[in-house]
Amino acid sequence: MNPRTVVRMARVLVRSQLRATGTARGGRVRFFRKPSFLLVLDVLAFLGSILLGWAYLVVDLALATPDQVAAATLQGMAAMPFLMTFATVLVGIMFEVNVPTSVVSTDLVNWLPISPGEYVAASASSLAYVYSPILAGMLGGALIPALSASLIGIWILLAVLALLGLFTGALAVEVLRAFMNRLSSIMYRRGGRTAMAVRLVVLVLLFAGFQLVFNTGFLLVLAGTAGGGAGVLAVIPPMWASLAVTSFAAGDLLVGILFFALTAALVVALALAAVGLRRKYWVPLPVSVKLGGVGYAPRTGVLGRLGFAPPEAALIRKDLRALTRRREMAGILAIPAIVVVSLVAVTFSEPPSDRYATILYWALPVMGALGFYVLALGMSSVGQEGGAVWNLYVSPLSPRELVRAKAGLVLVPVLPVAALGCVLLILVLAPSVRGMLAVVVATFGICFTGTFTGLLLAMKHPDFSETVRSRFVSVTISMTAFPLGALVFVAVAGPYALYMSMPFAGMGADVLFAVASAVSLSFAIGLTVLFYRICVGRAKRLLQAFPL
Amino acid sequence: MEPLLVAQSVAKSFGDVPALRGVSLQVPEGQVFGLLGPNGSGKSTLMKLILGLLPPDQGSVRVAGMDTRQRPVDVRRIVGYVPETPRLYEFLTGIEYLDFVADMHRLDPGEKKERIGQFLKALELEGRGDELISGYSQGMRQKLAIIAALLHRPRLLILDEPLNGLDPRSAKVVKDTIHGLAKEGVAVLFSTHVLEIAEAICDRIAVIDHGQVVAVGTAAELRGKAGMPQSTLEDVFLTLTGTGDVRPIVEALLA
Repeated sequence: MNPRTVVRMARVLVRSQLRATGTARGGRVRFFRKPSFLLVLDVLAFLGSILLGWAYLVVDLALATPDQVAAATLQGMAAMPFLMTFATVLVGIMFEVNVPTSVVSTDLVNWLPISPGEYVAASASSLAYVYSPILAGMLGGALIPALSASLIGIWILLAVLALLGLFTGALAVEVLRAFMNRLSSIMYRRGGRTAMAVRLVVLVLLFAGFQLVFNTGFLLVLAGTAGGGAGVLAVIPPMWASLAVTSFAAGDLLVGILFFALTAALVVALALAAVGLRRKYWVPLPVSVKLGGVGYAPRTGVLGRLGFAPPEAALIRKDLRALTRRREMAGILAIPAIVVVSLVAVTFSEPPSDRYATILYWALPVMGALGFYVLALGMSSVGQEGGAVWNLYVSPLSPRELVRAKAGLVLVPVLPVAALGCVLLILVLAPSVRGMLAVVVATFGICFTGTFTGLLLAMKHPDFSETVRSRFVSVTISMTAFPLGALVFVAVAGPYALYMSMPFAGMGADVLFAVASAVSLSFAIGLTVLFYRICVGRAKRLLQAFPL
Repeated sequence: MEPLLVAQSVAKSFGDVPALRGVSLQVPEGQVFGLLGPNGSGKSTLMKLILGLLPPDQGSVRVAGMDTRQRPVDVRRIVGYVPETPRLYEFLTGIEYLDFVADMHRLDPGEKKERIGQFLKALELEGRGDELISGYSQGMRQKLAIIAALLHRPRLLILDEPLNGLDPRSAKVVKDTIHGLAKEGVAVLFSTHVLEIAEAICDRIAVIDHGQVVAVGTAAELRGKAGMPQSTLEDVFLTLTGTGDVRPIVEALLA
């Protein structure tokens, strides 16, 4: 393995990710599209989180004893390496594995003199570098509490272990990529609509399974179920880095060194597995796939009956086919499964203690999954056109039709699922009429506002490139979209959460519920209408200049 | 009566790089108009401006009397376009793709099925229509893009190197189709690097170099303008674009 080749390749991959949008034509590369920009982000994240760590210390732990401060700090620090791995795997599934088969098979790297080992090292390093601001943020946040609790030695050790955690996640994503190539090759050989559907289901299960393997809540539940308590954690590889931190902190040097060595061995084992799998399943070969069936749209189909014009219906049909046939879209389809698994697994270890918690326990996964899904699908809806977007530019498609079609792509399959989610919540929670109304308003409100939030970002910052690290929206937007989505989520569902948490009695309940409903509905309708109008304006601008 | 396509003093720059410098041309109905020029001369940019895919920095483009910037949707209803490298939706089958394009142009379901069937047969794709495009060869993709451009009976056809990757038989079918469409009154704007094809197909030819039209006319008129009445169009082209002597380049490549 040539380290210079690895570094050069990693640099190219980082640039590919930062410059994926591909709209800068003939212009100079701006600073935020250069790899050095990430170093600045690292420093900013580190310094910013130092402030947060300090604030935590002086506000939250102001009255705590030094022992309590040390215990809280150590608890947080022990979780960090594992969280680093978890976060990298999660963003990896959501953003890093969506490379089209055509790009994988014709990618430059396939005919350059680069070995599988060099490529895996470069790819994992570039992934680790791109997500290093998360690491910097974690370490910055822990620094002041660690200094205050005289745990600076453990903090230094944590820095190394969290870095290993980051590489564990990055290499796990590389393993996942190789599995996906293998799966695509198998399915391409079989052909037919059934094989395409099977591939989609397997990919979604693969993503959900991977996410589960690196999910703290799930592993803790697993450890508890196995009956061994904390001792069982020792046999869960992603936990070894955290156990190393706690062992060193407890002064148990031998055990600490053992877990440290095991963590390093895990990284090496994953690297070897990733290299081996990549060598074996280097490229999925696109071969002729016959689907059968005529493929002509009916005169008036379901979409026509729902009020969509023929061009809108054609666009929705095309995008729905993309959703179920393109392997790079499987990550988006897996989001509901991932979110449900994450939220359920985290709360599973602590069953709800009262009615309020029970409602949140059930409502959060359903609404969270729908919210994340509509946001991610809306966000990807424009950029996923890729290089074929010229087809839209030469078609007589108005901006309004484009927005309606892209919104239809999200809402047509989601609204029936949302209705099912509402029925599920109503059956499980058996709420009052007020409760039923709240469930319906919040669920559908989240679907509509989430869709148009995603569409807004997609229309403003689409990424049509189909590179090794392409996304469907620009890199900055993909990082800020979910906090924005969370704000919209809170605006729509928050009033009901506040209403439920308030102690009240008698007539006040009706008034408070009416206020909560009015606020929630106002946010849902207001944001949807506002975002729709902005989307049409952005679509008009988008269609005025061909982006590629 | 105004010609179907009128481009007036069109200029376009990308950053500091000028791509087109005041290009004017007119293509009446029933004429096949060829665009010739070396790589990077501005041919594709001009075509994108005509389609309204890019806004001009200066000048204007009108198709059937409509400004392409002011009425882009109406213009696209009557224009068919084949790009130099057509990127198609790989996850659709050939028929699904053509069905999609036909629906975008609001074709009647009966008519679209009939026309798609006819074109697939003519370009020998009949048995491959239910295969995913991801498995198509470059030539098959090119054929599909050509069919897509013709489905809605456009009045103006813009073809950017349309014969790329086509086998001789399919190329002949496309050339004859272009002639046939021109006879029916369709205006065709055609770009190619293959000078023999330009001479055989085009009624008039414009030579573009460094974003400017350096000569326009029939092949015979171009020879006259270059003062080379007996020369091949290749020699005329090389003379007009000032790239006649290629020996130093060949020598450098062989060194």
